[in-house]
Amino acid sequence: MKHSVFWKIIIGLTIVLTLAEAGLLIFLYQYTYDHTIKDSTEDIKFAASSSALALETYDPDDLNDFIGSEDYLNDVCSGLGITYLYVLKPDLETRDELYLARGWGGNASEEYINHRYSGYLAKGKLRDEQIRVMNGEECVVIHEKNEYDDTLICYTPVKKHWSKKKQTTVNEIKSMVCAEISIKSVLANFNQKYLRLAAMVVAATVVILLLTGIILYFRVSKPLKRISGRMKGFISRKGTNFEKLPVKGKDEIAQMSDSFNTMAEDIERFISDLSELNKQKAELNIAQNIQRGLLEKQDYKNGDVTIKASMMAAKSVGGDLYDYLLLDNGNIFVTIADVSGKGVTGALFMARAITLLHQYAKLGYSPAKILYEYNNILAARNSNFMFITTFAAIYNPNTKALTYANAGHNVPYVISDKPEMLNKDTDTAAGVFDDVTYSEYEIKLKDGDVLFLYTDGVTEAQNKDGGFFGEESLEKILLENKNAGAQALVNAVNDGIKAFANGAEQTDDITMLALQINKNNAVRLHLEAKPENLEKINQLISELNVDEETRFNLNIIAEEVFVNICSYSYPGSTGNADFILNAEADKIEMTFEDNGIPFDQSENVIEIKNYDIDNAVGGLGRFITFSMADDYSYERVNDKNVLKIIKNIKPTTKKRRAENEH
Amino acid sequence: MNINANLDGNVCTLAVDGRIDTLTAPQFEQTFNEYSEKCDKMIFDFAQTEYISSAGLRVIIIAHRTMESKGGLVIKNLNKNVETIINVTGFGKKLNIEY
Repeated sequence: MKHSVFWKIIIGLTIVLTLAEAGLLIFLYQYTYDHTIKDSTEDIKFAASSSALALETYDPDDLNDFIGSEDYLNDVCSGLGITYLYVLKPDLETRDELYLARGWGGNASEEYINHRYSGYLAKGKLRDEQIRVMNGEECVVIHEKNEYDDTLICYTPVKKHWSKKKQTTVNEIKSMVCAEISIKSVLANFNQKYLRLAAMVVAATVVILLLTGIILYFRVSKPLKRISGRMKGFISRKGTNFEKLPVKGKDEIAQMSDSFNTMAEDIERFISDLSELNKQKAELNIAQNIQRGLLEKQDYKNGDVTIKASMMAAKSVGGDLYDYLLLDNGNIFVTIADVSGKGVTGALFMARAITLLHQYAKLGYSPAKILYEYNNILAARNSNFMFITTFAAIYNPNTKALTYANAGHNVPYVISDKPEMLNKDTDTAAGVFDDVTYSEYEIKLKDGDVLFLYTDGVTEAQNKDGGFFGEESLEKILLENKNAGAQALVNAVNDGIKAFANGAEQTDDITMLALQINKNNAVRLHLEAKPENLEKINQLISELNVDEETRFNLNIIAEEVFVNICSYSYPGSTGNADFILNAEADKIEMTFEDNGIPFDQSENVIEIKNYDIDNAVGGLGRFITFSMADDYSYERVNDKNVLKIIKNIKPTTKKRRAENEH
Repeated sequence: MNINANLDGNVCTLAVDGRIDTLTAPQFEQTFNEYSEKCDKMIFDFAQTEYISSAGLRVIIIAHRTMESKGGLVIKNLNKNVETIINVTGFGKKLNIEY
């Protein structure tokens, strides 16, 4: 309560009003008093001077004559409101004064009226002011104020007098007139009125304060309290229906209530929008996960090619896709596509598209046929009229030929000496018109060449000024990184785009796929699968530039694997085996291929740690092989056993010593 | 592969010069069988043996078991690579190897 604005206003108002009233009343009293003094001074001056003129016809030495003037003096007193009016004949030497005549007005005291003054000698009472008057000063006014009274006195000389003795008027000051007004009496009436006025003002103040308080309390304080109470409980009471505040009139409180109602409605709408948004976001996340889940791993490498793909998804779900597949005949299928729509619809369309592309590629279709069938299926059920630009290609590592077809997609680059676009005659984007015939083109690639696929998210990446990344920047980066390999190339383009965008929001998926034709040092031996041919394999291994220990291990691995092929792959018959030796800087890759029965030598290798001849000898060779191999893989491809074994090359002795010196 | 066999009393020493692989192991095995009948104790001298595969290890194990009941098999002068193979298989702990 102490801190209530209401009470602060009431107390403040009380103090201000009281001070203002006190000031006003004091000023009023002072003003009235000053005016009374001024008016009374005029009155006594006039009374005294007019009396002095009238008294010139009396003889101050004849007391009985002077008494005759008292009726006149009384008339002056009552006419001008003078309290006392009397005539004195002072003796300047003795300072005595003799009362000659007197009159009085309405306020005179009983004591004065009852006293017989004529002929009364007041000894030694003469004042200096009176002496000045006797010496000819026209008029002297004294304001006498003490605890009993507040009096104005005016002394005026009677300048001539009648001399009975001489029977003539003598120009000599022998007497003076004194006029007195009791200010207290004059003000008595005013004081009464003044007190009544003050009481009225105080009463009015109290009434005003009470009224203000009541109005403030009911029109401001209470509604404010209601608003604040409603605000406090707004969120905690959520769930119950929001009760609007009453809006009465058009004042600030009403406006505030109205604003609060609007705000509350806005907040309620905002909260419900927010939960709706969260729901949408969750759906989007699910769609995004589905989309990502459908994409192949970003890195792939076999003896023939290296693939690096990348997708930087925009905030919302985009419709980009990439895919690759090692086909049964050893060929490699790559594709990239961009759905026209975004969001969940786009993602679902993308999901259909990638499944179809993958399946048709798996069936062994050519790129043009893949796109033809794919387009027909998509176009048949596409009520939203979405379309999808698609590039599909198949690389044959044996002939090094790339066959491709393009359904309206950004024309990919082949980077050999410099980035060059493939055939720019693209066909219709897929998904809208059925029965479209797609043209198929072929290009021969060389070792080290890179096929670079991308979506328009790359060239149309924007910076904050709205500028586009563009083909020129892309080609520049491709040229600069032409020998860097697929992975570094894709990373360089991604970095280039990021540097260009410089924090601008990404609006579209940015997707790339680089297919690099590996430089192939592999040597292939096509052998009859019989142990005698081990010597040819050993011969090949002996030509390798490796240290003795590695050569020894390679020898053992090759022997064990080859002998196993000879012994088990062709039961009851004979067959062939291919030995492919691929030496790289840091590792040796040995691949064994045979057309025998399915036989995975890397499977169920028994760990031989105990001396147990009867049980262990059968798996001894395989145990040794896979203990020595750094990596290996087995695949059954086209009725062939393909076992690949990798042995890492240790740094040479010379290099190792150099490292130790560091 | 050449095998230099030496019979000294009832101790045989087979010194193998070259590779013991799938192709040569049968010859090694045959030589061992020939001499194992003539002596109680067998010594394999691998000083000149540069290579041994599982086929060769098999002969060593057969030899070890054959000689177990008699004077035993001793293997000596292993080169580093051959020794590694024998140790990888865990046979090193069981065989009588002289360093």
